[in-house]
Amino acid sequence: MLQFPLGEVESDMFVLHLPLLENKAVLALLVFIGGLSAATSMVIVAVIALSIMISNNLVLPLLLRATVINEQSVADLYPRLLGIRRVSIALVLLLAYAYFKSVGPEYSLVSIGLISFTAVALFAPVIIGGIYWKRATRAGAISALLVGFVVWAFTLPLPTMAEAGSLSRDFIDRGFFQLAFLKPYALFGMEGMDRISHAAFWSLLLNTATYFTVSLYTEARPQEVTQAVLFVDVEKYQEGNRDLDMIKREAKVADIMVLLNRFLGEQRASELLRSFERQRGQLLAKSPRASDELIDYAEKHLAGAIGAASAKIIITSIAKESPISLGEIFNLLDQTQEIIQYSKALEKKSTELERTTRQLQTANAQLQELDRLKADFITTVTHELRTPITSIKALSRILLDNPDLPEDKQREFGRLIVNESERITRLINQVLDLKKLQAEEGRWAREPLDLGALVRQAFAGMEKLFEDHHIAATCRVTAELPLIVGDGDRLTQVVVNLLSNALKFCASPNGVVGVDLQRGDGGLWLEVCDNGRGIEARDQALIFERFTQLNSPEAGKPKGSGLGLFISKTIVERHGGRIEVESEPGTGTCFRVYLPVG
Amino acid sequence: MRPLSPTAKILIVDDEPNIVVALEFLLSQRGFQTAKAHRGEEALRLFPSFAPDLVVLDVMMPGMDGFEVARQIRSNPNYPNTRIIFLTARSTDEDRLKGYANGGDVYLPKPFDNETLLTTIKEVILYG
Repeated sequence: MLQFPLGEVESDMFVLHLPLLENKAVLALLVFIGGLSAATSMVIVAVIALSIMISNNLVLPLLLRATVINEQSVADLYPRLLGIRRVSIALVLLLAYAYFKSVGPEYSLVSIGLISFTAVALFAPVIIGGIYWKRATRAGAISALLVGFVVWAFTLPLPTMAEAGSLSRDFIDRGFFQLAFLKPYALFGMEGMDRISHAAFWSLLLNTATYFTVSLYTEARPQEVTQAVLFVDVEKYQEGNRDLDMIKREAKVADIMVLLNRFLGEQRASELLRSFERQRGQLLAKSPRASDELIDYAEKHLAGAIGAASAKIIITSIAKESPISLGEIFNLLDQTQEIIQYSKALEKKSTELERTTRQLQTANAQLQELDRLKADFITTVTHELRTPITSIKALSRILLDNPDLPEDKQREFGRLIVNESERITRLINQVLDLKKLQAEEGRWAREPLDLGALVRQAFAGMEKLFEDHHIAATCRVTAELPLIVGDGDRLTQVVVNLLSNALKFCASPNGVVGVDLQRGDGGLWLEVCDNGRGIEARDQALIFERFTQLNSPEAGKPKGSGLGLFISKTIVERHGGRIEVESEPGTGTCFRVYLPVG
Repeated sequence: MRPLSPTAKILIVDDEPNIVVALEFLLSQRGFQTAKAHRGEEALRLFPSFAPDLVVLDVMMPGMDGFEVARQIRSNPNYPNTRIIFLTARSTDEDRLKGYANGGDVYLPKPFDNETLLTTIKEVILYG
């Protein structure tokens, strides 16, 4: 640096240029010879190291994985290993030469080394993550490496080759695919760093980001999880009992001896085995089964010869990877799972029991309610029977005790007695109706019905009665009404009940009754109106209850049982409909029945 | 048949018009002065003007029931001497006790016997 202006002489050549500058040719020659031999030996060492890496960690594992391993194939392996290494040496040399040719003398050894360093640095996140982070997955690691290397390739080796002239320089200035943000030296518009830092920054950033993102979004396979736990919590498992090891292997001692002989030579193999016997103080001949320690020991020494990956595969080929490994773990998991499921089932059962208890309680309450209703019903029925009997008894006694009663009084009382007797008859009939209604509930017909025809028919049946009472009755049915589904007899009962009520309660004289059937609200509306004295608002809700009667002492009309509207309401509701009343005291009453179509 | 007490005024309260007809005939035949009401509220309205000596009172009526009517009569200091006979289809012991608790003097079940009723009325009026 003191002797040469910057850039005049390549840094690699400083040591050679210094004696030349001082005109010490002999010294320069010595330096040259020393440099050349050093470089040559470095090349040899490097190429052999690389070829061993390639053969042991790339080719051999691939080969072993691709072929079925048996005794013969293992025996064939050693000679093939040498062949593979030779080819690898040639290949590495060729590749190195090709890179040198394409990048040329433009770049010093240092900068080429830095480019490689940047690439190697990309392994760091994955390795560190693998050691400390259990959540890391295989997919995460692979994609992280791929992304990192692609970015690295785009930002360092490719533009380097381009500058050396073996590729078009176009993409350096304008970006890949003409995209400005993909300029290899200013990725995403970032400038102001030297090339190595720039490439290291982006490739490491994207590599790490991909590693974490993909790992978090992918599920690790069970095997990965086991390995992650063993690796990350290595202190915890290393000291523990060997039996606790997740992966246990079994092999015959003889098999291991054959392997060692094959790959290490007989002499070295027997040395190793003897040293193992001395260390452990046990004779291998005594036990045909190899201990885990022996297997590990053999694998370690094989790894020295053929690489860790290949050694593992070969050892695996003779050692059964034990049933304990995943199988046992899954068994444990299964058991836990079973217990969890069992307790879940228990929980479900107890919820079911609770639900059943609640249902029973509800059912019990319903039964009690029913019982109460039944008692109420009996009380009410007996009361309803007692009332007309009371009148009949008192009135007939009067008739009996007073033979000299004026004839009009006799007639009046006689008529009242007949009326009350009829009331009893009606009551009995309707109680029977009600019983039938409840008993036959499940057997109601569900047939398509023309409600218009049904209403007209019921109306026609009562027309004579209306005429006799001088009531102006009209029946209007909208044409072409849709059919409804239901029990025709029951619905006829409803219509007749409403018509009888209208007949009973309409004004007298000049009674008016109007029947109207039309479409509405996705169903049919039947309206039966009279011009009677109407129903007080407070009574309107009551009239649909059992045995509610609105007595009209003034009118002195025949009375019903108090069940008609209750029965009608029951029937209508069983058809999915509803019944309402609209009444203005003194003006009249309208009963409106809604029945859904379909 | 001699009128028991021509001056006694009896209020008949029942929502059944035919029972009222029979009672009215029976009582007026014996010379009692009668008034009738078909509702509890109506009966209480008639009280100030009619001032009955005795009330023949039904229990189950729409609106105010007989027990409530009796309570109201008993809680009114203006009518300390009014006698109350419950005449009702509710005939359990429980109902009977409830009738007395609410201020009834006699509890008669329906259907009633004409002569029994008249005798009871006579006894209640004469001997309180």
